[in-house]
Amino acid sequence: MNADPRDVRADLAGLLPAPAERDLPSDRHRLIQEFVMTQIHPDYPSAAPASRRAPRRRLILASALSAVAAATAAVALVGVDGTGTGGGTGSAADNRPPVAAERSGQQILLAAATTAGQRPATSGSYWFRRTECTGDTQEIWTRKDGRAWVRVAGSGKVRELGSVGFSLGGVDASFAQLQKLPARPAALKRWITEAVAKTEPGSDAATRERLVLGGLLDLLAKLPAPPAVRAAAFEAVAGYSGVTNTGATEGGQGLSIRLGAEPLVRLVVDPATAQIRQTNLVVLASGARPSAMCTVTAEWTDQLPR
Amino acid sequence: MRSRVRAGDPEAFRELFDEHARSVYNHGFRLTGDWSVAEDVVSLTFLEAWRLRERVDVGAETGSLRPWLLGIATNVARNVRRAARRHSGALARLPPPEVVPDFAEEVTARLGDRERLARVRTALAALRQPEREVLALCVWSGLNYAEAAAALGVPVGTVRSRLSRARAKLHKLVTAGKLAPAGKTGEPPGGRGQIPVDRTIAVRFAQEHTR
Repeated sequence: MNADPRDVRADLAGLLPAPAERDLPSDRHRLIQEFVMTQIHPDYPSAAPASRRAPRRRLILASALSAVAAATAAVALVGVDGTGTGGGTGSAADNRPPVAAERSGQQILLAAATTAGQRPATSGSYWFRRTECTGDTQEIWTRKDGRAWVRVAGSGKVRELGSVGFSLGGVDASFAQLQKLPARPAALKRWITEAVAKTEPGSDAATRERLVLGGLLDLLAKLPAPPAVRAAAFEAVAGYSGVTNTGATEGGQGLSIRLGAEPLVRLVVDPATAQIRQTNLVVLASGARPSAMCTVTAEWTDQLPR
Repeated sequence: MRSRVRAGDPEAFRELFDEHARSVYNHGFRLTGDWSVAEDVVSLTFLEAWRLRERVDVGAETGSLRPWLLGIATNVARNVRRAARRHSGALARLPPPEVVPDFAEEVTARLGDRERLARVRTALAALRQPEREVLALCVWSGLNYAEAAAALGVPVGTVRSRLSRARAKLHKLVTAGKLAPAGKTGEPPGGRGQIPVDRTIAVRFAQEHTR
């Protein structure tokens, strides 16, 4: 080792960008801290003055409570919608508009498929997508060549991102690929399934299944797909056995989809335009998972702001 | 602080957590490429630190315990599952983080991070695990050679030679056009095609599948 060791570090720092730094979210910081403290010292009282109880017990209680809450929610849904695809039969049905009560989730999606297929094809210079989740708004403009701009949170300025392209269910897709997607439900679902399997070779079946549904919902909610492909995507979603009509809501018709043991996937479809107004299924690095409800807008525009 | 930790003072441990959880979390992410695994690294690191507290050297009373913790975190990240087993499946009792849409992980506002992450991933994939570890400790967490050597339990010369090897390999990548130098922004590594989406970026350099 004849070189000054400082140089190696400086060189390496120059060769590699520093990875993003993150704070441990404060609630997780507390939770993990309490967890560690109770593990190492079972009788150690919590630092939080309000709670005298052993935090370990509290954690178990918290998950038990959320399990109960989830079960209650599921029961409430079944109560409203009977078998899941049938019309409303429970007492809660009284609160809903009569027309919605008579249609199953599947019927709503099939009607949306018809509407989507009849909508004129649209185009523009930028595909604009706005997503609002619990107060957090994101705006992104993507050109057909894949270059994208975003509005920077805080300053409100729009800045270029580079070649981002489009993504469905975590799979990269160019604009041209989106235009050529299969326009038949089974073939479309197969295309996405194969693409997901290729991108996620090591993943388990449940993860891939969520990504495939995430891909179909991406096509409906976020991507510039031709009318025939959107129609096929609606039909493919209608083919899921766990689709339930949850009644009319702001922006359109509420639907839920049960996929395995996960929390329900929820969406709101506007029957008049066959647009997805809201969805809670987000595709993250860790997979596609139901989350908070997000309001989505996706349409062509010719103007890039500022 | 050192003697309090060594003596098993829970309050000292709480302070230690407050002070260093963030460092351990970020180090855990750099080694595993997954923020939720990084959370597991945090809990397991502190559980391990408690178990190993008597190894804390009280002779050097003034030094920070951060290098020691990062050393433990490095070992934990090497095999999260094994570390979790040692603490008798302790992690199963920790509720999973609530999913909120994190657009840093989707496509939008923080693509800069993503591009950086893509470059980092390309680079890390070319390195062997011991090289990655010294790189993360010395370059990203800012430990000096002696601290990194002590943290990993290897001689200082080994730290130096691993770093030199890492540098040689990365230089080769840059020369071959497979890795854009850090200063360059805007284009993905290789300069063609689309950047892989986050989910493929995240974590493929993790050595194992956790849970």
